Amino acid sequence: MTWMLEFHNVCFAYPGNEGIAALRDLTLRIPAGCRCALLGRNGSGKSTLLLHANGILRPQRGAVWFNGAPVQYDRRSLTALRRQVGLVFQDPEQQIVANTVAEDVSYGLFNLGFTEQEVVEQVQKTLKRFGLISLADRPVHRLSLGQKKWVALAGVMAMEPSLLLLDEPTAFLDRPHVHLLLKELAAIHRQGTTVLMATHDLDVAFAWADWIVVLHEGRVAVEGEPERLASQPEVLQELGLGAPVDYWLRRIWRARAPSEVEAGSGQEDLAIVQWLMNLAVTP
Amino acid sequence: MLIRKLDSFAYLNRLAHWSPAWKAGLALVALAGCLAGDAPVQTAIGLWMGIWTVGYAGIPFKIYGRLLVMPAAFLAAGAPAFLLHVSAAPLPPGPAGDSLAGWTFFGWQWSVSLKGLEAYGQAVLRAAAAATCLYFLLLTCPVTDLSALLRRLGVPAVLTDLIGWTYRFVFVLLDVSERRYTAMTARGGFPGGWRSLRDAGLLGAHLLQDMIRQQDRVALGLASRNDTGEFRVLARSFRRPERRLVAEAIAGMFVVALWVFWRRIGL
Repeated sequence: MTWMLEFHNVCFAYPGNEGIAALRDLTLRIPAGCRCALLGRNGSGKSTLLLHANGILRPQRGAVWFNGAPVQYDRRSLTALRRQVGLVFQDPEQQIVANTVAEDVSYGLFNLGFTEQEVVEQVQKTLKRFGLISLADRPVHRLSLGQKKWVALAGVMAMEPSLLLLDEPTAFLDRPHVHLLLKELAAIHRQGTTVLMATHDLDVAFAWADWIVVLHEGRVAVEGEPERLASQPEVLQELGLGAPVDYWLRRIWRARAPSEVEAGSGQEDLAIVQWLMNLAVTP
Repeated sequence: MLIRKLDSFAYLNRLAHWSPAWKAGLALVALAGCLAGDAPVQTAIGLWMGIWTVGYAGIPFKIYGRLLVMPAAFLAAGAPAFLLHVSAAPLPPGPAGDSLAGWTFFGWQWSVSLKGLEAYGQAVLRAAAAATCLYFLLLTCPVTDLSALLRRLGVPAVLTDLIGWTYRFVFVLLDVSERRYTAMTARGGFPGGWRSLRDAGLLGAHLLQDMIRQQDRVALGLASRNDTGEFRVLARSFRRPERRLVAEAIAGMFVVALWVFWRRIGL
């Protein structure tokens, strides 16, 4: 198996919080080509781990490896790393730096040294892919939160990273937007991008990932395939994540009543509820 | 909020897709005409800019009128300084003394002079005409386009970036302050009087903290996308302006120049 991202005994504490380490001797390997969910409660170290993966934070002890080589922290190496590793922040306001949608999508491309013609082509391609053509010249402060999240994702995907990191991408999104986002992430993954998503939403993680890592107090508490982790509900419960009810419910429903309804869609939700209602009234 | 409305108009008006160079050129020539010309020139320019802003760009007259009231309020506040003359000894009435009316209060002679009235009229006309030129630019040209234009004109990147950042942060802070204001109001904040003043101070202090926090977070966002120190983004593309309007703009600029020249030199 090829490892895309590796953390070897990484320790990190934020300045001023030296007594409370955000990452404690963390060792973790993310295989290339996987859809990995990073689960954990607030303060478990998920965002800190992502900032290390993008080279924004540097381990105080231990090392981060990318594509089989340790990450170097000189400017040129970091530029090369960030070309490969895209990070989408939880709050799009943190990430959207330009004034219009097209400008923001172009920002990272200029930083990578693309020529103006290449930037124009790549921006058009990206806007088209994310359905943002009609919003290209719209000032970002006139967008809804859902649209801003989409622009933030487009701005990173325009750089065509091989590893996409997402920090709580479903936070503050309504259900249809979550479904749309997960569909897009699946498409991104199909095109060969490894995706690592930090979330505290158990249902999202189990519905989408093919590998789940659970962080607890800056360490990996447990990791594995969704099915294996879902079989240990007491462990998840103990880690404060709750039990994977949604996962088992959908699994049973899909096994008993296979249908043409798209997995994870609103129609599937409705069909499950109707099935449960029938069960409830049947003596 | 007015600032959001103005920004919307700048992006959505009928001239929004014109090159900012065109609009800035027209506004600047008109502004120069206001500064160099006399009252008839200034009146004509003010009306012409109004036609461009309301008629051609499609800015609602109500908004335009509200905007014009703002400088009018400043000018009204400055009126006493222009109009009133205070002296210990009474001024003789009529042309020699240049006094239109006079009153005595507390042993001082207060009078309105013809010269003062003329000067005030000139200042009002000039300021109002200049305001119409600047409003034309403000209401038809997004700040992003103006900043790109300045960059093309050779203004240092650090200044144009600063304009862009300030513009972006204004709206981020506006959002934050609105959210905080709503949250405070929901808990009985801003009840009026001194407590409202105290709440406003609290809101301001939090905004400062929010601004610093937001700045730190944006710095991380920039670093994650390979910030090089130079803020370079794709410039907007513009449509070719309508021929009739271009012809009118050019003809108007010539007329302004000739008129100013004629009034000044007396040709």
